Amino acid sequence: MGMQGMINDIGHASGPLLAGLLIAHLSYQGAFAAIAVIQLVAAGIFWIVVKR
Amino acid sequence: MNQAHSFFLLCGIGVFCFLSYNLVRMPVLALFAQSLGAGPESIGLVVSVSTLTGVLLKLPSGALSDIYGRRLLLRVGVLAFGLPPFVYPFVSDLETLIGLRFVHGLATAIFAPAALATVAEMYQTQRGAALGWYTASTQAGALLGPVLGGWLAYAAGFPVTFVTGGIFGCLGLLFFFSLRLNPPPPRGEKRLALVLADMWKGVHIVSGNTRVLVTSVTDAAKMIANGALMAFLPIYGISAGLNPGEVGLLFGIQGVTSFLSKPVMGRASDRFGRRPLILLGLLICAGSFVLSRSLRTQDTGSWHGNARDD
Repeated sequence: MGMQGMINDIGHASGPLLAGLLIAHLSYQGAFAAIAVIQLVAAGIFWIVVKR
Repeated sequence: MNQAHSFFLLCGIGVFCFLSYNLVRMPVLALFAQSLGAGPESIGLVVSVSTLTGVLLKLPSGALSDIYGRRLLLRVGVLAFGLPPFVYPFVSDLETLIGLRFVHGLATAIFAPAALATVAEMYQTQRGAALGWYTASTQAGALLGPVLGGWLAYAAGFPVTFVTGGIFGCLGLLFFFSLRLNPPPPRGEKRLALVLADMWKGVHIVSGNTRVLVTSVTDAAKMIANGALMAFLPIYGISAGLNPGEVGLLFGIQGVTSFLSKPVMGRASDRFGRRPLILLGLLICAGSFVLSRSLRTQDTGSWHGNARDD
């Protein structure tokens, strides 16, 4: 659980950093689209890899 | 002092400390950093640095507890909740703000695991219920923080907001120092090499199980979205015509939705399985970001934290 929590925290810490970079170089709209794509890619990988 | 009284005080500490922490963090911190001249990259760094403290300290917290004793960790944690908010009004540059956020991040990184371990130890037989009540207390504080913080920043400005956060943190301190706990003394036998060995063992277990690894990374992907919202919803909200009080309310609504839906979703996942629920959560998250893009915004410049003049 500790390691899982750490991976969770790494995601939480990298969110603002990644969003900051994306907003600076794209726009809010571009950054939000990129974050939406990350969610969809994660959903796809999870669905394929973690079978019942 | 009986056990019920000690537990009540511990829940009170949870409410006040997490109220204080989140009052400073959302939506105030990003707006404060912007008022100091931070661009998007720096705002991202300021908001993420306290979580980085957690990354460094949460995993070895069990081992630190063995070396230094849980009482000391709780004491350091509760002090890290109560004192830093009073320093924010004197911060005038981003480097100091980043340093202060690192110190403030010690609060949750050190206190949270030690407090959970204390509650678990207090209630050997009704552990689940006790942990549930304690977690609900911290969540209640965490919910109220952004609503109160946003409103205070709007109505009274940054300094009053930070001092109020400090007062709530000190209430937590007061509760803590009236608490009589008998946590286990430091065992002292763990050294750095053993701490690192424990961490390495955790890495090995997670990386060796594809299902656990992918599920953890999926959770991290969701947390990327959460972190991005925490940092940039305030600024995006202001550019869409909201005031900080209204942005704080948005965080409050998000927290209430999460708080109320957890038991329902827990039951739904028991019935339909975990996979569909995780997939649905990620799709809702992606959909929220896509819909947020369609808001009309304008460059309103930074919000300088002056109290409203209407």
